[in-house]
Amino acid sequence: MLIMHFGHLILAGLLIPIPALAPAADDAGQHWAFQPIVREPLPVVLPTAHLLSPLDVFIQARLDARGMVPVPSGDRWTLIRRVTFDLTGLPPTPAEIEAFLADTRPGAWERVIDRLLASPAYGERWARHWLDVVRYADSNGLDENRAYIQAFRYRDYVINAFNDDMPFDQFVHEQIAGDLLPLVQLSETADQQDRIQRLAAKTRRHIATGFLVLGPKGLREVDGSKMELDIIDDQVATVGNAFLALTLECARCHDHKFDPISTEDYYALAGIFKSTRTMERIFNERGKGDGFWLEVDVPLDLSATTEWETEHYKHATQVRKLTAGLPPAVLEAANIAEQDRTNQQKQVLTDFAQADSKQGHTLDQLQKLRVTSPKKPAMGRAMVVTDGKIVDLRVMLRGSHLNQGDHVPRRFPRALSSQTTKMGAGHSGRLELAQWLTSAENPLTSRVFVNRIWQWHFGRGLVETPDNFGSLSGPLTHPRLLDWLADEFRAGGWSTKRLHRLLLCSATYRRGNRYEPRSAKVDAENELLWRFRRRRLEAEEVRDSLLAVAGTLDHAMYGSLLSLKARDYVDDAETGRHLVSYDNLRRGVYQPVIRNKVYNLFQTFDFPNPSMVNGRRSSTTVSPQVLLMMNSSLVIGCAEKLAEQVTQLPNRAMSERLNDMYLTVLGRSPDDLERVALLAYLDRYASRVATGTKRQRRQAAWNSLAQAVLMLNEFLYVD
Amino acid sequence: MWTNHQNLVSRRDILRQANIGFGGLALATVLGREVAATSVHHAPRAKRMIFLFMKGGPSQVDTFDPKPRLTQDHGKKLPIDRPRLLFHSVGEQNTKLLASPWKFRQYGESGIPVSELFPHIATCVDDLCVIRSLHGSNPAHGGATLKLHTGSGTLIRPSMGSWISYGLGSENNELPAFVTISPTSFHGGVNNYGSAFLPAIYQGTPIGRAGFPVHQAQIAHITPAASPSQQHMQLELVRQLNQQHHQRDPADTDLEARIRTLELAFRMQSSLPELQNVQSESQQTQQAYGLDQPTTQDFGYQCLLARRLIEQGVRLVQVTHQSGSSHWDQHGDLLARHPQNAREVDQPIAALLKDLKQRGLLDDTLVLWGGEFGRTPTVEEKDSPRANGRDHNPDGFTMWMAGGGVKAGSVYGATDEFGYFAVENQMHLHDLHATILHLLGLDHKRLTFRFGGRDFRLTDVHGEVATGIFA
Repeated sequence: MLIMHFGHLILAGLLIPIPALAPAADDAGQHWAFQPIVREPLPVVLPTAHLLSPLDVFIQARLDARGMVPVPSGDRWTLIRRVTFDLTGLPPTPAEIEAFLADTRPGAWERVIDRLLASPAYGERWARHWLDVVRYADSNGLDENRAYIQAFRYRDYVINAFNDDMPFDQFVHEQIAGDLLPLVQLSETADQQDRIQRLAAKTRRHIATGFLVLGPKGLREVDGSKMELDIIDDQVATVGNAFLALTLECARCHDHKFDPISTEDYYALAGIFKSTRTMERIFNERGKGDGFWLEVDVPLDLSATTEWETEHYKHATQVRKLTAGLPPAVLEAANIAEQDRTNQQKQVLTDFAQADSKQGHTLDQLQKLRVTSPKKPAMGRAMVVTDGKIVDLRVMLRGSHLNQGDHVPRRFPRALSSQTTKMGAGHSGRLELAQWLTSAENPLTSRVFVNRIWQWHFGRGLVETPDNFGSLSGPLTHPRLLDWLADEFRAGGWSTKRLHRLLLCSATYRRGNRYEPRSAKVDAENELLWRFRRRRLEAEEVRDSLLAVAGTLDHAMYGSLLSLKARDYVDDAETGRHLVSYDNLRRGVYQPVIRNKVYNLFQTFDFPNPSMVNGRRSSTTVSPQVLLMMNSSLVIGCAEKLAEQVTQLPNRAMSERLNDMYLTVLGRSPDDLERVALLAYLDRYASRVATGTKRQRRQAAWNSLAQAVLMLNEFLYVD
Repeated sequence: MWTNHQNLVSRRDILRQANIGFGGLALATVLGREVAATSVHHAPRAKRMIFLFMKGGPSQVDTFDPKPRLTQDHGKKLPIDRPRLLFHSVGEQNTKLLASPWKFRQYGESGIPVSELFPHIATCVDDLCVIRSLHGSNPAHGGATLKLHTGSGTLIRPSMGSWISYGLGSENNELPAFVTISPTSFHGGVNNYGSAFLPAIYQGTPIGRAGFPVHQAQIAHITPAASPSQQHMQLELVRQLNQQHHQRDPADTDLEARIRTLELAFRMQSSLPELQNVQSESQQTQQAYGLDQPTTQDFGYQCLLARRLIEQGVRLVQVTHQSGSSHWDQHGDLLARHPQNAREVDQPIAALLKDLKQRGLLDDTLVLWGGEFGRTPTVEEKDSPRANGRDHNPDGFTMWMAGGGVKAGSVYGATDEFGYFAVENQMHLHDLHATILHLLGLDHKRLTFRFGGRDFRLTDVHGEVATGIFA
């Protein structure tokens, strides 16, 4: 088990030799991903090219080299549907489509992008991408399955981070070391607003560290020491995969054979997380592993909490002044509520008060203060880490904690860092780690992130494997472009929205996806982007779109949809009944993510396994997807609502109603051929319905038609 | 398979977008793309498998591994060291030996001993290969159940069934390659039949869940929402409009596959419920499986359904015995609960074995019986004198196989004289996996999948094929 990662080495090295993929260890440091980012001048391209953005030049240069001509821009119907799904995960409304078609002034496209980036739905859609990467879930789900009822605070944090365009370097810092980032010092003149802002930042940053706590956990691992190391392994692996696209976890048991990561590097990083407190408890009273993760209080009402803090401070100061110099026995008695004092304590106080009237007055005042002590407002809970006991780990030979080697001081991987200073004895080193990830010397973090963003827009990254930039990474199609974007991203203040604009305003993004046999012959996989890549809707988009076109989607933001109590199991222990429901109209991003038991619709449409970092979703075509579209109550219900919408408007011709339906669902009008088929269907279907009034039979036909339109490939795909 | 390294990346890409029904890779040929149907590595001894999973951990020393020493030394202290990790016991607790309350008798020509808990299975003993030397590494239900099903108790890995369907595909395009009947939602839940990083098509298809009457259970969304003629009319419209749409980009195989999947799904709606309807079986068969008795009804139905599914080309069917609270985890009340559990499964399992044999299916169907671990030979003392039981024991326990090319009427491996540790022909769970794959014609070292830059396999870096059990 512990030496699991050795498997591929044996396989790759001996049983299935893959020489081309296995560089000699000496060369490992030469791999492109470990080289500094170099911003080269734009390449020279043929003068005929349609270029709108610097990135088009890089794309065009590769097309020129192969003698390929890209397909022309997609039409406006296609583009508005593409970019709306892309940025918000929702279909454009008929009004939005018409507005875009009507906007003939220059800059119409840019205005659409700005509108979409400013919509709260943008954060909901793009947070979900990030949640895939950080293996977000609402339960521990490894050996047993307890609800993480507070995980949603981290999810809401991510939504806000995208909507607020939080600089990505700050986003990295907060998730890894939010609790350690220095807060602004309040000046003498600070007012309530300043205090609220400070508390907001403090709360937000602490919630961000939920990133480190959300992983899968074997909470009943009898060997508690192993449980702890497995949790640390999840943290090292997630940081490595998510930010560096490196499989650091390989080095838990042996030096990484493909990338320059040694076991010392691994345990040096693991020491940072060993020095971090993630768990409230690991062992139970019997000494068996039986863990619970860490949660702390967080303010729910910032204003009330800030006021309370101010009052509490004043109050505490007054109390301190009054109690200064009181004899310990008196102080002890005074601190106990009157009704709880023993006779002896009462006597102590009486004696003290009678000895001196001034002292008596002090006691009276103390008594009054006790009663007026400001009441702390209700608090919420959040999954967070804090610094724990600071230690360095020993290398564990072949990954076994029963077989320990030499101590390794906490530090960063040697091959990636020139920094040799050791981390202080007083803190875990998470803050240094976070800052190193986004430092100028680290070429990976910005490359990895711009590649992710590129892939989420274009369906495939410039590096095909977004979570692995190591020597075994997939092909890198446009190395200069990747570096140019990484540099541009850093120079632009790590602004994600700026990066979106850069990519979306290109000619490359606006291409049509027309099939060209000649180009397909040269580049069947469309690696060079001669056309736009069609994609199937992702799981959340399927659900959200169904509800959106039915007009029933609830756009409310944030919060938890779990009705479980802290640490509850997600299934009823007696009956096995699942205690999580998805029977609501909220967006997909708010649906609980239960490890081991992902929501059926999501599972069916390739929701990634939420226990592993997964920067690239699959898109399969399997029969259960069709069965769901044919028979699920969700789809039937949405079809009925859609039909109702289309038919309830008075005085509209049949063909207008069909237009309405097509525009809502597919973002276009039916052509003549389709219109004929649809009208014929309505008649034929109604005539075969055996019961009901004419009107009911007609409605049944509309319901069936609406469902048919929802089942079309065109609804499930974005061109 | 997958020996053509140059194609690894593009093949994986194809798998990402696998345009397939339930059938697994074999059906991918409909795409006309270069995805060969996977094939076995060597001649298989078994073409399919039924796994009878006894959730909770049945006691080996009370079922198939008699230990006279326990009877002899009942109540005395265990004279050997216990493992480093104990699930529930602390310090000097639970060290007294507990004799089996049940008598063993030899059965059949092979003379293999079976305890009186399993009078029906005992009549099939000449078909069994009893493996008494299983061992794992995790003493908790969650870790052990995951280890048994996925090869890892701590990391998310594809289930054994997913590996098998990845390797073999289904023999029937309208049916999944891997079905799990009444799976447990606890202790790893879906991970026990999940595909992890393998493409989603290899995930097991659940029918029902443990604790829910299986005859009422259905595959999700299989019940038609409209009459066949209405639905047919609707699908015809969808097909027609999809065709027009597809003509805009005739090279898009995703779109084409989706059109085909529509027809497949429509057919599955009738074929699957038909399979689940055991009423078409003879009265005699239904009675043999115990469908007429409340005690055996549920598990009998599961076993009968398993036979019907493999008969139709499903590669792997897992049946889980965990009806309500009566699973095999007897920390206490061993005397009452183990017999109750045994009564629920004994007759159905014997009926299944005989049925398979009579239909000529047993020869190339591997049947596996067992739990995630066994139980300690020592007593777990509870406050009540009646509530005696046994703690978890992953260090030596029994499973048995039947059919599928294993040596019928044989015993393999042994535990020590107390039944605590596997000592002879030890078979780790990794070895069990290697052996099962081998029986199915797959080499556990060559059945790999590249994920995150590494080639993974079910047995990680472990696994020895136990050729000693082969016929």
